[in-house]
Amino acid sequence: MQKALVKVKGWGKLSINTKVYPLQTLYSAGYAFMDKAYVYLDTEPGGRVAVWIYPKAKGAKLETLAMEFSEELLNYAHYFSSLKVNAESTKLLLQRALFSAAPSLAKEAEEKEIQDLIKELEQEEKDEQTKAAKKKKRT
Amino acid sequence: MTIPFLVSHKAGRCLKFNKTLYPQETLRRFTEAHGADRDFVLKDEGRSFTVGIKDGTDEEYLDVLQYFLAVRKA
Repeated sequence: MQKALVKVKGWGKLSINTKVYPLQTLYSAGYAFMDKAYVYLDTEPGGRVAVWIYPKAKGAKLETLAMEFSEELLNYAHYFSSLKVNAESTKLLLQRALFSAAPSLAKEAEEKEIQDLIKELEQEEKDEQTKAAKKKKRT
Repeated sequence: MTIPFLVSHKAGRCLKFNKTLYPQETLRRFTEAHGADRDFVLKDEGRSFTVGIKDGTDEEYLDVLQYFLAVRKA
């Protein structure tokens, strides 16, 4: 098993697989760590990212920091995946809330939908006419 | 404190940033914002680029790292 934490001159290096933890997660975890540690990111072979951590507080243990960083990674990975899963529901809820707050918005949306449908039908009719004209020319 | 990932350059020390992880534009903004009090040297190296600070202390190099993460979140 790959050693999780490598210590170099007071710095701790974690090797993170970006297939498991996307970059967005790494940046967010790094940001959450700004008060506790200095964070530097670098690429590594095999789609991995090296996260270098240096504690800001004297006497802070690298092992503890590394474990806290891993926790933060999981926390943000969960946050972003939930965000993705719930995106559609959130959108629907927001729309409903906005519409109930201003009924005119619902009416506007309905009118827009009708206009779009009319345009679509007109376009279809045009396409059919063009097709028929082409057919007539051939015969 | 020693920074293990600082690269030795003929012009001095510098930080090497991978472009995928650190968009060049973000660091250019940092160097522009702090260019009045520090002398920065940016060098494009294909997939990465280097940022050198003339007579830069470790703390000044660490400021660059902090800025990047702070901006990413914002």
